[in-house]
Amino acid sequence: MSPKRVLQELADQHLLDEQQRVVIQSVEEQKLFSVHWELRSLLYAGILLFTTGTGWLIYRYIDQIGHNLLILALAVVCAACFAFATRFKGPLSTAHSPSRSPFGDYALLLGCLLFLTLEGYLQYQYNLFGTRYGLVTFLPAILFLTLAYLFDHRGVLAMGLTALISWIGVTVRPLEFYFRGNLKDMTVLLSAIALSLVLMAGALVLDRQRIKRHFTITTLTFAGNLLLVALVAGLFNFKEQDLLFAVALAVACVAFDWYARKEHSFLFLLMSTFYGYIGVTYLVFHYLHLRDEATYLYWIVTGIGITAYLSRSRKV
Amino acid sequence: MKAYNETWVRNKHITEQAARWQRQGLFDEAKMQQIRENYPVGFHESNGFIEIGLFVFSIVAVSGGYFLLATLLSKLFEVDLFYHFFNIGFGSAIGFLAGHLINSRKHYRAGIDNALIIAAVALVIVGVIGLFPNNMPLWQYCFIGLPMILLGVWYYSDLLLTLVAFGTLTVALFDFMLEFSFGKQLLPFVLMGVSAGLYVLARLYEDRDELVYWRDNFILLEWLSLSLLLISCNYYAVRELNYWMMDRRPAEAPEITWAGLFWTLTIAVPVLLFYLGFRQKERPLLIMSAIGWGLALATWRYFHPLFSLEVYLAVNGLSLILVAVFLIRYLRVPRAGFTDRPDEDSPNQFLINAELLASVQATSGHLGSKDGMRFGEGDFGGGGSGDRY
Repeated sequence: MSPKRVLQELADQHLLDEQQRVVIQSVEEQKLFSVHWELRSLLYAGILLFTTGTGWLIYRYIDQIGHNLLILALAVVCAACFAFATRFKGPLSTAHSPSRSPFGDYALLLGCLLFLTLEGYLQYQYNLFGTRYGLVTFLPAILFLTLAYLFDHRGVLAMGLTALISWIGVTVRPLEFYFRGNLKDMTVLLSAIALSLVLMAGALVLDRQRIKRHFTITTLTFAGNLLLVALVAGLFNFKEQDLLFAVALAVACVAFDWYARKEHSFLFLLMSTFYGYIGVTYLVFHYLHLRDEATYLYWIVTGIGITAYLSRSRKV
Repeated sequence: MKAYNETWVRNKHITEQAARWQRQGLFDEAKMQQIRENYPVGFHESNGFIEIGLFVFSIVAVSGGYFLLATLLSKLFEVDLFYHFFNIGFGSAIGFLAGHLINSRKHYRAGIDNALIIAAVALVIVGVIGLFPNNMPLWQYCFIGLPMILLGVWYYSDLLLTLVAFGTLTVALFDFMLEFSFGKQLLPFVLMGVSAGLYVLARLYEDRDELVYWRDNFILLEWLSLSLLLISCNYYAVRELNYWMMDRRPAEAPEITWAGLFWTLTIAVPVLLFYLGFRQKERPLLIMSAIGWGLALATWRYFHPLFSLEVYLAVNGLSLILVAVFLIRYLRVPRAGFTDRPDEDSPNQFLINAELLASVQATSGHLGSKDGMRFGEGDFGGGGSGDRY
């Protein structure tokens, strides 16, 4: 049904009077076609392509003439981006305070991505941070988190959190830096758990203080996934402590379930259900050694059970 | 007679449109309430995240049931016929269960029903196809399955089934054309013709009153057919497919017949889509034309590289930024019916989340590029940050 037909239908049913019908019809006829999100996606894609391209470019022609010029140009663009974002920064506030320019947020994002490129290059070429690899990720993490709060930018917040999560891996095991491989190491695992707890506590405290409350869900999603992945990994990788990890996972899942209900957030409900199911399934198969038929029965029972549970939670 | 209450589907569409007008301030909440009362929608409200969970765990339960029964009856399956009838029977039972839940629990695309519908249709089709001899060409199986899938689409208006039907049709045409000696040459044109035809069909019927039950299916069909159109006219795609279908492959994909024509189409089709999209103000046409331009550029670069990939990325990224900035500034005041002001149709939250994922991906990429480190993106998967659009 076209909007025109819906309008006709409502008028036929005497739900709209003639005047309303005429007004709505003229609004529909003069309706502009909004390309707001298309253009922003284009801008976003451009920024990502540009930073990826330049990020590779500076290593490719590292010893050639013009290379320093490229670095200089990138540094100038990076500084210009930060300057632009600062010039149009919204007023400092604990509430939502967007940039006064439509390009402010994008300039900040471009500036941050270029900063990462340049910082990486300085470490590669001049060994700026020496062997303190942790600083390479810790510095941008702190910078981005600060900028995110100052400029009210969720994208930069996500970047800062990503860098922060990298940092625990880097500091503890700089040479074997891989998500799954890393969580076989108890130190990394415990750092991940500790970091996620600190982040979650921080997010909740800031939420309570009503400081940038729209950031809470981003931080909690990041930290929550990190915590739950770490606990599941602990359950899989450390057989001796599996009871401990199982209890911790159960507590975390119950906590997320409780929080989801309190905040009406379906994402956290889904997270706690998925990670909890993985944990329980692992324990069941690890300890009970189910035969084929029992396995299928387990799928039926749990599948129906969780479906019923989620169905009932549709209106958290 | 359809799976879902047709009046509710129609009412849902009407109230959603009315709610858009109300958000624009064209009438007040009391009027909106009155419209809601006149057009009741009995379906249960649901939520995207919960639907994902419901879909996954319904599939888990159905698989459990299927394999348990199959294991218990495995002795019977020594006769193939029993196995095929078991599939048909189990699929039908799932179909009945879906119908029961849709009626009693008032589900509408709520995850559970989607999962059960897909499982039911898939099992019935596998069972029926099993009854046919097993040395037939692929396209014949596809053409046996297609009417059943379409019947499913007609009855359930399910979007996943629509996708499957489209895929089946494409595979069938593909395989069918290769039966003929001239088929390989003709294939791209057949696919182009079919996708263009399906697009026109979808556009003609999407707004029909009596077809409002399948409105979303028609819209999905528009996107799918435009995607197929872009692929089937793309020089790279045609050349590579030609290469893969050769009996004895040389080291490199050879030049194709009518190369000039395909180069022209690779560039002309996105231009045409843009022209039509601009004239008719059609979002799928405009977005697919932008993707088509990206594809055309990537194809050109692949065969005629002037610079290294890095230079292309940087230069094209910069051009994209400049074009977007220019357009955003240019459209601050409406021009030719276009505006940069967001409207009530914008998928706001979805895009913000996509942007967040893209930033995470990009950050991990930069942090990782220096010494082969990869971290941080583990939980989230790719955000599609490399896409050209």
